[in-house]
Amino acid sequence: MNALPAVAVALLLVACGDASSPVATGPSPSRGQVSLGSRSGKVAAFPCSQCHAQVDPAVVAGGQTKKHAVALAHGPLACTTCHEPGDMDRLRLAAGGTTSFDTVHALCGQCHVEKARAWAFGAHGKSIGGWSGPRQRFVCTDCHSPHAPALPMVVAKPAPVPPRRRPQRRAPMTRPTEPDRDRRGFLKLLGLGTAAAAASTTTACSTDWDRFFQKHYKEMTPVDKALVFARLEAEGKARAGRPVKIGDPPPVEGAAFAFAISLSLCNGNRACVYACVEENNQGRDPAIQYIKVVELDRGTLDPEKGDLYYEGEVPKPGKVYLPMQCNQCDDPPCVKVCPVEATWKERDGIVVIDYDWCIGCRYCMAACPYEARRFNFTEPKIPAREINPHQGYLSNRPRPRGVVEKCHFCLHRTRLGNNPACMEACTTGARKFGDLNDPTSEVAQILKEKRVFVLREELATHPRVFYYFD
Amino acid sequence: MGYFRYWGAMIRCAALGSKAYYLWLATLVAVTGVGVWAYAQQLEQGLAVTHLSDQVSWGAYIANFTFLVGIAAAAVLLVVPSYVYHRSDLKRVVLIGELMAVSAIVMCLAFVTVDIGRPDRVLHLIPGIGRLNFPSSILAWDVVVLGGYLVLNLHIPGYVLYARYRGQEPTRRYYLPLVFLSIGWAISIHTVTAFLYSGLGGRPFWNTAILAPRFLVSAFASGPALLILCFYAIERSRTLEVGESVFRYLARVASFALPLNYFLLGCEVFKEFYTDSAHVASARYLFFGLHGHSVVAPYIWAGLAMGATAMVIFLTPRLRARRGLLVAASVLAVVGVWIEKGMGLVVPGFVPSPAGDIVEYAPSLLEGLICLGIWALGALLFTVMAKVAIAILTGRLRAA
Repeated sequence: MNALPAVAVALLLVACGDASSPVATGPSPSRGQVSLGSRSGKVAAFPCSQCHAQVDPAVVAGGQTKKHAVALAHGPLACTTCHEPGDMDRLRLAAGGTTSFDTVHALCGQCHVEKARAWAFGAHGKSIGGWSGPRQRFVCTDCHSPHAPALPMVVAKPAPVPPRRRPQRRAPMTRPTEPDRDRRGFLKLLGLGTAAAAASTTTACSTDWDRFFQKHYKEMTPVDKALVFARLEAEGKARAGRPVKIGDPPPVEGAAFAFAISLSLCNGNRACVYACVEENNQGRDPAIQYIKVVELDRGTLDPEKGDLYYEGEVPKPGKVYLPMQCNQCDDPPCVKVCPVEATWKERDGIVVIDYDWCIGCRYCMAACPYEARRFNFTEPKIPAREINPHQGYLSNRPRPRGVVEKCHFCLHRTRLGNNPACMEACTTGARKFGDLNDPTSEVAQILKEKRVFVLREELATHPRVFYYFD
Repeated sequence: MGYFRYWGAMIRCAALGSKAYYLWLATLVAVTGVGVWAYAQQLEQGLAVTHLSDQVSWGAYIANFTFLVGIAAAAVLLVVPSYVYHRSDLKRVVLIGELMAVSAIVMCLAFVTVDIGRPDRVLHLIPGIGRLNFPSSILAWDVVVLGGYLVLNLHIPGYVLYARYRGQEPTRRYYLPLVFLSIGWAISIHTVTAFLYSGLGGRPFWNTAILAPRFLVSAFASGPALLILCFYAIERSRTLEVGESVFRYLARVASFALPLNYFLLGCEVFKEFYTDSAHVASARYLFFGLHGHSVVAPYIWAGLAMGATAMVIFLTPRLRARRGLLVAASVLAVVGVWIEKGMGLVVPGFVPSPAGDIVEYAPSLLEGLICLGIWALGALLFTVMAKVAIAILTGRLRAA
């Protein structure tokens, strides 16, 4: 199954102004199909026809209404440019005929031809649902007010804390879930600081032993995995105070995961940053964030000229916002340099880390040209109630101290067909995720139709995060 | 049995000495102890006790590691003239140089160990038990070449000393092939360490082909300088007559290598600043500071000033002939190179970060104490090994 017919219909709608059918029909769209939400229901609270049998000619002339707060700020348009004068619940198409509120894109696309075209293959606008399952695409009026389509400014979420201002940086970290704190204190009393620290990651002697001799992920048999996951789930439960599930979804066969990010749409609100932190159990103190959003002046795309610590209302005039995260490179320098093969590229393109194998040498951090990797300088602290219990062994389970972590395209979600958390949280629809090998996917079509670029192309790392303007 | 008695004799020799010797050992043990205490704090709290960050993820530990690999490699400057050109004056002290290499490698391994976040997983580096990513990872290469160099430099002096202890002439075929191997190997350890940096395309400051030559040349400047200091101390201890010609030879080598080092640094500076591309940012940060951030700049200028002063003394025959000035020049050369190829190389590589962040780095107190502790450990090791070796070489320690 694929969505080509659906997209073709959408294009046809835009091109011909034919409003006869929504993009996808049928009771339950299957994989790859795209549907649109119903707008009729949403505008039904105030159907125009409740008050107006016909449009008041005075209003048409003035372009403003006195009775209700519809301030028209949409170029030279008047009410009847879009609304059918004779039937207020229909929209009027320039070429003749009408369409419903559900298919408002047919109306908007008459003027915004390029946007409508981009929307039709997924380059513009937000989609919800999974990347592989039935997707639902927002229509124009889901985001833009038809009467004043310019988007308002929003207050960006807090800027990251630079390390030099990091609070409690050198304070000793106590771990409330650690049952052997007393033993550690006792050893310390004896002056055996080293031994105490060596024992600090233990809960019992046998788990100590198991942990010390835990195999590399790739060398674990299914039985090994079951035992290790059970131990991690028990530890996770003690820490989170509720059951924790450690999954290990295999790579999606034949898939090549990628992101396409529209720099025209991204407004720098950092919603993605914090959704990622919550989904992926990143340490809150010191705060670890996988996504960095760089505020750049128009005219440059060099992150070194940007500002990571912008605050206040966004998007600021004259600025472009560049979200950076792990690029899941096809030739990853980080994988090449790891001395113990603790990080590798999976078949579906995701670069993963075995947090229980990493020795914490941080060579990968020096090698990464995208500043994607983070190090746990101390035991990551996450309030128990904020721990996400749906965890993946190679992805979002809480990391131990002294190891490196990074974005993994939310593989515990995406390998099950869902969208990454950052994409779900993005309010602007700037993020598109999918399978490059599926020609009907949004990312594949964006790569085909848009002029995309990658960061630091000269290094030939062949990133899987593509950027475009829209 | 004889071998155990040999070890017993060596331990007795190391344990017995003058008051000054005990005082020196006690100082080193105390400083090492402080370092161990500081490291225990780091193990307890994690690398958060350092001032390292995600942006500047390597610092004082790796800087010292880099410098000390050079010191280890510099032993080749005594090995080549001794074994290849049979200079008898140098051959008398060559074992001291090899033992300095041993101490330097032990310090290197200690610096790497304190740098890693999970020292409990160090076995993951051992082929067979772990998964050494060889030949892909240059760090894996470094593990191999440093381990090999340590074994070579333990075997050669170990074997020669044991033979001398028994009053025999060492059998050449038991050590000479390994001596020649160690010559190439010495070059390899510092080359590999340079490749560790220069192989990273994402860090333009390090991504330069002359890094390996620069490393070797700076090692051939700082190594002889440190050897001069060691031999000076040995001569002052009146245990071994080092001989004027050894000092002259080492000063001569430093007088070639130090200017060459600054020539190569100058080439690098020219490339960065004349091209004046976006990649100049790191060099600009190092020498002048960037956007008001300039923690490293005074430090590098101090290092360059020390190097320049040392160069003047090494290059002026009348100055370098005076032992006091020679020692001063050696101290300045060691510290100058330590600054320039240590923190002066490591830190600017991370500034600005790939995302344009400027995060400065200066080691924390605990980091400093750990570094000091490792240096004291190395000095301790060298002192003890050199004392025993000198006793054997001068014939004071012999099998009964």
